Amino acid sequence: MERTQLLGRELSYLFSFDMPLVTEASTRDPGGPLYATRVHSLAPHAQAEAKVYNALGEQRTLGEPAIRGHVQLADQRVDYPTGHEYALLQGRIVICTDAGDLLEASYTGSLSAEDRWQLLMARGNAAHPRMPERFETKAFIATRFDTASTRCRWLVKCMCLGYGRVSFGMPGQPAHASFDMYTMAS
Amino acid sequence: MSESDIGDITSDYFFSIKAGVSIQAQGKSIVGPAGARLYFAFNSGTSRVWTKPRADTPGRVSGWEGFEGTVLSGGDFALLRLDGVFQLDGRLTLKSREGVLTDAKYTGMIDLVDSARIARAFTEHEHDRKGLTKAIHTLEAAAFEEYMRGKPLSARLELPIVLSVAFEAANTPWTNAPGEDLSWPAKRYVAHEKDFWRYRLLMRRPFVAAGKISFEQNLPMGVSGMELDFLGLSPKAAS
Amino acid sequence: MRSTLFDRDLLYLFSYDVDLEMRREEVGFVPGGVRVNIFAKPNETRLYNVARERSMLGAKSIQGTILGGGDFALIRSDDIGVLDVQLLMETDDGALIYSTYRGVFSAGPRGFRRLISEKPHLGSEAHPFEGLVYIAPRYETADPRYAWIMQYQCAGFGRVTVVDSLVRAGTFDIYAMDG
Repeated sequence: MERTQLLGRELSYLFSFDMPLVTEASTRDPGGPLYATRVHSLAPHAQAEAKVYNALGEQRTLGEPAIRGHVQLADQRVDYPTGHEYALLQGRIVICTDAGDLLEASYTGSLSAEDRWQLLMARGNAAHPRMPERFETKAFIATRFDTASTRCRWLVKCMCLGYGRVSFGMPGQPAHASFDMYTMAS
Repeated sequence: MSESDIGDITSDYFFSIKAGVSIQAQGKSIVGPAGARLYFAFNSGTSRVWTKPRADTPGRVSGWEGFEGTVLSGGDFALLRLDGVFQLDGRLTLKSREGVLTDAKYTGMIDLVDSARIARAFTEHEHDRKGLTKAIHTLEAAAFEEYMRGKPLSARLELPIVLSVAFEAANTPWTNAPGEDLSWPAKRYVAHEKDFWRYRLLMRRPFVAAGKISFEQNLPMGVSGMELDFLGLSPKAAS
Repeated sequence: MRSTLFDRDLLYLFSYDVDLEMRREEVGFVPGGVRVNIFAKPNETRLYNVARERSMLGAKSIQGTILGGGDFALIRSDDIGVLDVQLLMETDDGALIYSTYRGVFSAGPRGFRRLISEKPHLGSEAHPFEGLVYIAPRYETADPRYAWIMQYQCAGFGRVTVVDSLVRAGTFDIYAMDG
């Protein structure tokens, strides 16, 4: 029999991270003229700015030491389907905690886009007169972390969601990403 | 197919598959931004996995005795791209006659655009790059449209295909504790343990599958079957 | 570094209760765990709205059937199951929606052993084991009435029922991430 009540759901905060980005490539997807793709990665020598931290200042999360460190590696692909007001994300990230543990994840997600996205992609790298100098988009990712660290082993059981912002500078290329990561719970 | 050398790579024949295929979801497809996604499943009842006689395939890898069995299940959420390329991304589960199960994931491409027509476009627009670009785009888009309308593929009912394949074959239980008693797993997970060694090579090198895919005439997106030879790739041994 | 969190929200989309076929493909021990392929009973799972709402997010609510699909799961030796699922759904008004997702299932302490051992089993007919499952689906469709779903990264909260170490059924609530 179909349920009449929702299952319990909860999001528990884990950590936040910031990443300055550079654009590696801007290309048309070979699938046809209706896709445009850009590939971005962590800006070189930017580990000092690519912090992983607890925005609430907590020392422990879910009974474990709060995760703090920096983003070691990151790259992501953003696909912009023409005629659709959103973009799709696929990315990989490696985090190094202050204790030296490596956490790695592959994620999927989406960017909440508006009409100006299409203007940006249709014109490639050229700036569009209606494009504001800098603006933020909402970003949503889902991922799991894997690690060989026994200290962070508890994280492996978590399905994580990330709520974030990607800010774009001129000429419409992502310059910075920032996310709050949560684990799903019931 | 015999052992052959491709530059510094050796390809060794392992086994062949012939399987019927049927379109799922009544042939409906999803046409999204990148193309049309259609779904087909392998028919286990009309499938066969076998190893061709040594006389036909002299190059055999030491430790490989062949594969005889069936396709247990499999399917593909294939994408027919707007430029007339079929992008395959599927899975297969094979069952050997001993009962050992092996998973395969594959990717591949099939170009539906008639290469002769592309060659003619190059000739006609030899000094007109802009015209050539437009002509190629038109041919590619037409290939997509014609296939979606169920038009026969220029009377070709079979097309060559090459896939990149990765296998996952079971082995004895792995444990980090040397000397650990391994009698605890349920029998169904280790029932064929004595035969796992036959297929371990599938996990130890990259594979390609070469063969043909067949289509039903006048049936929109009517894929009807595949025949493939599976070849394991390895670096050429230093002389 | 920020000291406040971004807004976050989960917008309910639909639910489904899936019965699984008794046919399973137990591939066996691979590095890292045990590979098992599990399949939904085709055309038997309904997509429905728990609150029986006819619309949501300014669009028609999703109601339909799962045509088929499977989970190519890895039961890991560290007691978690990693899901790798492909599903094909059809709404009651004929739209096809394709879904693919990864997820995680926690089998609890020594869950791997209990799932894979001959005895003791995980769950029984009298006392089934109910495990928590979390998934992160994305959806793809060409139907303009449901195109809105493609812009979302979704999240699913679920339960699976395990009897005698076999997953028998699952129930899920699917949400769109928003903020």
